[in-house]
Formats: sequence, structure tokens, C-alpha cells
Amino acid sequence: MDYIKQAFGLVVSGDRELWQIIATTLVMSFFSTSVSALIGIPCGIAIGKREFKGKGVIMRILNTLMGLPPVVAGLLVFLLFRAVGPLGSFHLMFSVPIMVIAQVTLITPVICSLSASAVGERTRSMSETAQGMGISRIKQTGLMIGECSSQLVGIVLMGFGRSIAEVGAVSLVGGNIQFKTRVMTTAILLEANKGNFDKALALGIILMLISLVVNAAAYPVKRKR
Amino acid sequence: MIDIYKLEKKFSSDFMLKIDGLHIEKGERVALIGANGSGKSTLLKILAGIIKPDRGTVTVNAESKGYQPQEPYIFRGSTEKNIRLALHGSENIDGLISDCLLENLKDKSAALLSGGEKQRMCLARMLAGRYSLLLLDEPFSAADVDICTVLERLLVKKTVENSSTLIFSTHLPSQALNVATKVLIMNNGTVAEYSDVSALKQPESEFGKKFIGSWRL
Repeated sequence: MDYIKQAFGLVVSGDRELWQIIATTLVMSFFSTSVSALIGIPCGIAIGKREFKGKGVIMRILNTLMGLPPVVAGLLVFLLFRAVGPLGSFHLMFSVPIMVIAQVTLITPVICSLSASAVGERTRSMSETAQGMGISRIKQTGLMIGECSSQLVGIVLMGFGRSIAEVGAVSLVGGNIQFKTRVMTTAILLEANKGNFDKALALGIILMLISLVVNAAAYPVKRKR
Repeated sequence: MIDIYKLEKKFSSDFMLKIDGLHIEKGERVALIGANGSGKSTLLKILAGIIKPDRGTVTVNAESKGYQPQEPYIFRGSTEKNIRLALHGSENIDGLISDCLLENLKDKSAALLSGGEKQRMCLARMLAGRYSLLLLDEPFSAADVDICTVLERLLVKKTVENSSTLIFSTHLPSQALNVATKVLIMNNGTVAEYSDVSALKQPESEFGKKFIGSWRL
């Protein structure tokens, strides 16, 4: 109960650093989830809705990438974007955009693979009926997205959950810089390392609350049938 | 309307649909009958263009065709919204909804309909499309007997009104007699007999006699 009081106290105290951490966390998670969804969902639908040669190989690669450890993804992005790396000229290291890039690398395969599976399950029976009614291919794709919207919203939420809870990649490429790239997870890790377990736990509660609010906001779309 | 010549479609080592020749005239109502696995659904899917034959030619001269699989997909949304998917505009479908006994269900989520109600909705969906060729795979298998009779009459009325050709599969002899003008008896992937529906009572082929005999008409 004390931790909850402390978490609530932290929020209402107007602590500038805390609000900056929350803002950075939300911005990073929003952009990384949006970009991953914009890439992953169309690719997943394209893969899931039809059978083609090599589909099995693509699905196996995507499923393998779903288990990509965040620090490995962070390391790859770090090596690409460090000052002497091939993309070093963009000068993105230790900034929010590089944290988004690292998270997109992590989340896109998850969204793509799950979208392909969600669409694939319904494709056969749906397309047979739609084709039988003479519905055009474009309209069929629109119907498919509508039919799978609850699953797709769930998949995007899962991507958001992974993004907001991720620590390895963002600390590696973001550097956990105060008032710049510090997010909730890296702040929790820092406070725990300093022995400030009360503050770390309070931050954890705030993180959970943010997740709860986002899920609650998306729930009406998810349950619509 | 429909011409089939030397059609072959292999599905497994022990099943092949093989029809040397078949001609179906425009406006006919054909009941496909035969045991499970005799090739009725495969033939309907080939006519609908859902699957392609391995060999032979299938010519379908129809302005539009509507196909309903054995387990049609129920789309998200209300019953009325599902029916409207078959339309190209915003035609009035109140009459059709009423004919299919769906007045009280038109605003209900289609996913929540019972098996029989779903079949009524699917029939309404097919009839709303006013297809010149209607291909229905066991359209009333889950409907109650009394409702089945109403829907059979409606199907005949609408196909006549729209000058549509109807091909449907069924396991019910009464349904074939009530709806069809012709009967196509299938046996193990081949056409055992194609004749007037009256022949159901006196089939010509040996298989027809044996199969129809089991129905005890």
C-alpha cells in the first residue's frame, strides 16, 4: 500500500524528471509500435492470406526473429549507427529516434508473424464465401482486416506492451541519459541498482498503470463483434 | 449454360472427380445427390471457379454466379449487413428479409444466430445477389422441417423470377423433389445418372436404383 501511495505521490508531486521519463516512454512506445504496425500488419496480411512457395521459410524466419533477444537487436542497431558504423553519418546514437529504430527491429517480426497467423486461420473459409459472392479482391482485403480487427488490435497492444516494457535494447542505444533518453524501464533499473527499491517499485506501478490505461482504451475495439 | 467435357480433378490417391460430358440448360434447377465423398462439393467448387480442374474443360455461360459453400463464412456485423454484402448498391431488401423469416433478426449480430437462422441468412445473401447461376452446397442442412419447406418454395420462386439456373447438393429426397427439375446422381466421383427429377422415383442406372432405394421414396 505504501508503494502505491508513493507512486501516486510521485505523479502528483509534479516531479519534472518523472514527467519527462513518462513522456519519453510514451513517445518512444507510440512511434515504435506505430511504425512496426504499419510495416508488420500489411506484410503479415500479404503473407497470411495466400499460399506460395517459400512461405514456410519466411514464417520460420519470422518466428525465429520473434525470439530475438532485445540486447542483440540493440547491439545490431548500435553497430550500424555508432560513429564509425555504416549509418553513423545520421548521428542518431543516444537519441529517442535510435531507440525507436531498435524497438522497431524487435517488434516488427512479432507483429508480422502474428498478423500472418491471425489472417491465415480465417482466409480459406472467408475467401471462399467472399469469392462465391463475387466480391472483388480489394474489398475482400478490406473485409479481412475488418474480420481480424480484434486480433490485430490485440497484436498491436502486445507490440506496445513489448515496447513499453523493453529495457535491453533501449539502454544500449539510448544510453539512459537523464532528461533525454531515460525511460521508465531504464529508470527502474537505475533506481534498483542504486538501492532505491521504493522508488523503483513506485515507477513500476506507474508503468503498469500506463499499460492498463492503453489496454482499457483499446478494449472496446477488441471486443466488438 | 454449362458444358463439361472430359473433366478430371484428382484429390487423393483414392478419389478423383471424372466427368466425361455434362450439359446443363439455362433455367434448370439441378439437385446433386450422392453419398458423402461422391464429388458433389468438388463439382460445385469447380463450377464456381474456386478450384481448377486438372484436365478437361468447363464452360459456364452466366452473367453472374453465386456460390455458397457447405459452411459459409459469417461476416462481422448484423444479419442485414451480411446480406447487403452481396449487393452492389443500396437496394431495398426488406421483402427478402421478410421472405426468409429474418425480420426480427435483421439487427442481431450474425455471429449470434443459431445454425438454422444462419442458413436462412446465407440463403437471403445468395438471393439478394440475383445471380444468374446459383451454386449452393447443402443450403438447408440445419433448418427445421417446416422452415425448410418455406425456404424451398422461396428458392424456387426467386430462381424462376430471376431466370436463374440453380445447382444445389442435398441429402434430402424431399428437397430434391420440391425444388429441382433435374437430378444428378453422383457415385464415387462420376455421374451415375442425369435425368428429370421424376426419375427419382424410377431411376435408370443400377447405382441410382440402389441409392434411391435406400431413401425409400
